[in-house]
Amino acid sequence: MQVIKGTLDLIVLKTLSWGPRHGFAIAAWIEQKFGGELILEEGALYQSLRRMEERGWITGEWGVSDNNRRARYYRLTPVGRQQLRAETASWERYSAALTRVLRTT
Amino acid sequence: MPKVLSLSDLLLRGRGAVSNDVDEEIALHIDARARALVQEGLSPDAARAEALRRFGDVSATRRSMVTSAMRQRGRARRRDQMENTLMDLRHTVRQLRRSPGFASAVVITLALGIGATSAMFGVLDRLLLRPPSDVREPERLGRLYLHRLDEGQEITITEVSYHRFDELRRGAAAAIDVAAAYYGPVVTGNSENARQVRGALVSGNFWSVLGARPALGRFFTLADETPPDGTPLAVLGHGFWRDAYGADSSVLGTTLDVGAGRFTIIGVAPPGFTGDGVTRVDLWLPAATARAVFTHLDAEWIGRHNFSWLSLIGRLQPGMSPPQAEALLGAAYRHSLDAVRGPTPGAERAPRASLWPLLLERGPERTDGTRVAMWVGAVALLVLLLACANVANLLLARGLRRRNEIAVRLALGVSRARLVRQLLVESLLLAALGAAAGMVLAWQSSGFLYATLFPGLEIAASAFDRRILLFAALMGLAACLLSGLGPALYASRADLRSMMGTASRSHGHRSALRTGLLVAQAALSTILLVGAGLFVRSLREARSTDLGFDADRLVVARIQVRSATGLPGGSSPVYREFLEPLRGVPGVTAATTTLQIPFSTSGSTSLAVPGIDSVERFGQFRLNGVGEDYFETTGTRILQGRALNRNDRAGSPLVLVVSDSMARVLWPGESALGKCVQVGGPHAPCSEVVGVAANIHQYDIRAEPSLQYWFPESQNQGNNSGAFGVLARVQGDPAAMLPAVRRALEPHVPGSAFLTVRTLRESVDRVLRPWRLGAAMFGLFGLLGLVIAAVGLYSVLAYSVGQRRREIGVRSALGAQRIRVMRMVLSQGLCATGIGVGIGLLVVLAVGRWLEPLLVGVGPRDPMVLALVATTLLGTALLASVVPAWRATRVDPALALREE
Repeated sequence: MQVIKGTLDLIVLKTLSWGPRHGFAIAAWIEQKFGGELILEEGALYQSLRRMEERGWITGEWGVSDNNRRARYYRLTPVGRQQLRAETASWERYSAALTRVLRTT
Repeated sequence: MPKVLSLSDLLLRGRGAVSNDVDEEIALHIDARARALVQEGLSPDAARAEALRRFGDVSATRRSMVTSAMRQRGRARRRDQMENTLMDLRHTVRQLRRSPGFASAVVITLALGIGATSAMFGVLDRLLLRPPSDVREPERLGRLYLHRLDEGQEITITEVSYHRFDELRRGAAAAIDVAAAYYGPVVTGNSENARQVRGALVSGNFWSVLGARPALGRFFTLADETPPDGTPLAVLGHGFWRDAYGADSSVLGTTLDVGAGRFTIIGVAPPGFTGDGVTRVDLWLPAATARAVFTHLDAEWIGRHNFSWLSLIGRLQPGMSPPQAEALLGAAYRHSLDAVRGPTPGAERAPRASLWPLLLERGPERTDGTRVAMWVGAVALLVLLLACANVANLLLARGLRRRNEIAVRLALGVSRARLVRQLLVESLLLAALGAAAGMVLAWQSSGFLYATLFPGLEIAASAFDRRILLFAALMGLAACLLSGLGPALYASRADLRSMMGTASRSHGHRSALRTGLLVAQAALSTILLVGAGLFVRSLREARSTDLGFDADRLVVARIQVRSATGLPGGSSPVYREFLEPLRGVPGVTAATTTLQIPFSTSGSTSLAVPGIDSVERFGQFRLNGVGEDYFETTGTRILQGRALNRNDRAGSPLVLVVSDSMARVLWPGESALGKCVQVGGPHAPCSEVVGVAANIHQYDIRAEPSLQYWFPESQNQGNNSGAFGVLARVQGDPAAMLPAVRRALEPHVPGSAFLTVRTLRESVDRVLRPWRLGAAMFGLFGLLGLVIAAVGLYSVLAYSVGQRRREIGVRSALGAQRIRVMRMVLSQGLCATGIGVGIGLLVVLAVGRWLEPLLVGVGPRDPMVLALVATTLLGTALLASVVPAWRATRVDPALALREE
């Protein structure tokens, strides 16, 4: 299954809602949660991170990873948190409606 | 959460650093992924290949990430800068609120400088810089003047007859499209409703030459200029259309009585359109309809040259240069002259034409008002410079006071650029406040400036506009840089060791800079005060000039006729009829008719005196035909012989009264009484000189008194008979008498004429006004400069005494007497001022001759003024130094030494 266009940002925001993570940790989390069902082009993940950083939803800062390497940690900003709430709500409405439409016989 | 590097660290790195970051992030990811795959059992090489595959297009991702990061970095930096500036601004506002005295001193100084400069810029911009509105390609337009030799001297002809205009236009059409215009009052409406409006008579091609488009309807054209009287068409000025017709567009096609004619309204000029001038115009009429306005013209006027009234403008044809146009115009002028007098050797008259900028004040007809405005503008600029020097000095002193703070901040790693920026924010804020206040000042004063400098000139557009605001803002910016940059750079050069440790011992070159500023201030003040002195003396001279008549006692009444045929028998009988009712007005002690009205009109005719060759070489002799009580009315004293009286009438022996100056040039060393003068030339009969009167100024206060003679208007001398107005001598304030005079005369004004009544003082004041303004402005600015210089001197000396407390303490401890300490401080202030005054005086001596044409009865190097100014400035310097000097003597050596 491919990532539906436009939902990657939402997934990343969700990932970060539990606290700062670096890029690989985000990728690993997504992989784990989707149980390998989702084919994620990881380069796209990094582009998404930078794009959202530019928009001010997240900030990136250099830190030291668990195995003592420099890594870029991303964290949600208040704006990003708001964005996550709003997009989650609209996605739920959309998918519920879509499901309803598809179940019509 | 691990320790992070600060955001600003990242921001300070360039694009290279950003791509390194991105590379590192990607590498980290691929390594981590490969490691995870190895744990799942892949060989290291296969794991790496799989990691790269999962990542996708590495280089595209990299590019996109770098671009995004760079964009974000730029945005963050801008936000950062904005925040810094806001912080600096808040910091500055706090600092300024802590020293309101300093802040208001600076703002007021700058406001006066910027306000004065901007107001004067507004005036000069209108008169000298900005082309009239609604004019297409003004740079291709020019004003034309004709020149020819007259008795060996080149004269400039500013106005020509319609016939000459027509010949020039046709003759030079290949190179330049020539149009003609006359601006003057015209009368509209009928008898009771008659009123005077500002009119313009212009040639039919005037509109196309300027390139204007009508706001409504159409303009008249050359085709409407058919001789003898043209087509009576009228174009309304936009303001007049709005005021008199309520901007009603159905006005087109209706008629309007102007002078003796009935005109059909065909169009409305664009708003603010002033033709080639700067004053508002209510009514535009074809030049060929002149007979409706100038009722003395006969049916053949348009083919004659004896009525010169049109000024000329022209638009260069495409591809033609001014010299080409001038050449063709010169040739056309020569043909036109030759057609009248027959060909003469060219050298004799040497006719030529010259093309000038369209703006009148930039050509040979520049007025005193503009000259004074230019001087006042220059003075305002000087004041602004003075203000900047003072503000610089104040900022410098503040910078020195704050140098400990600055040194500490530098030590803490604040960059010098940031510090300079912060200090500049302070002067920028001050300059902005000053500029804002200056704009208000300019706005308030511009109307007054126009009224004073150019009375009677109703400037069409608002005297205050965007260009003035822009100029004021620019001046504010210049003032900020001029006054703030130096002090900011100096202050930022503070270094920690010398500042914190031995603070007071290294201020040598800084105080040199401050002394330099003081010298500059003193020099500028000197220039201003000398200017003020010269103008005040000129004004006093001009005011006290004996005009030769009592301008403060006289009322002038005139009628203006608006019928085609004029009044039966001319206007003289009407004026004679005026005398009786006028004498009946309570407060009027005498009344007379007169041909010439002082400071309004003058006239001359050829003159011959038996025994003297060509009297013209002595200058122009001005004539006046007057009524029997003339001298009694004007108060002009009779020095010898008698005044004219009621026995001098038509038929009695011809008599004259001459002015003292005329008597002296014609008959030096002998009595003029009984001499013969032939008014009208050698074939005219003898008039006997029966009296010598005091000199009078007929027109110009600056010129020598006129060579003047008077004859009874009833004796019809050389066709210069008749009356042009009446003069009444009144008791008390003549302005208060105007209504009574008007009431008494109104019943005797014929229906086809209307009456104007005014005081003679008005005309004289109009001439005096430029000096009055010059004296007021120079005086005000000079005083301001003096105060600024005094404050600057005081603050510098007080500061320097504060800095040298220790040195002074040591000196006192070593036994220096108080008087020596005092002398040391005083000499410091006086030296700087003395040098400044010296420089200022040298400048005045160098540029004074440019001021000369504006001065009356005083030279630009008037020793009294120069001495007075030098004394005043040095006295002020002394006063400003006394307090700091006194304070220096009070320094307690023990205390001063312990402070270290």
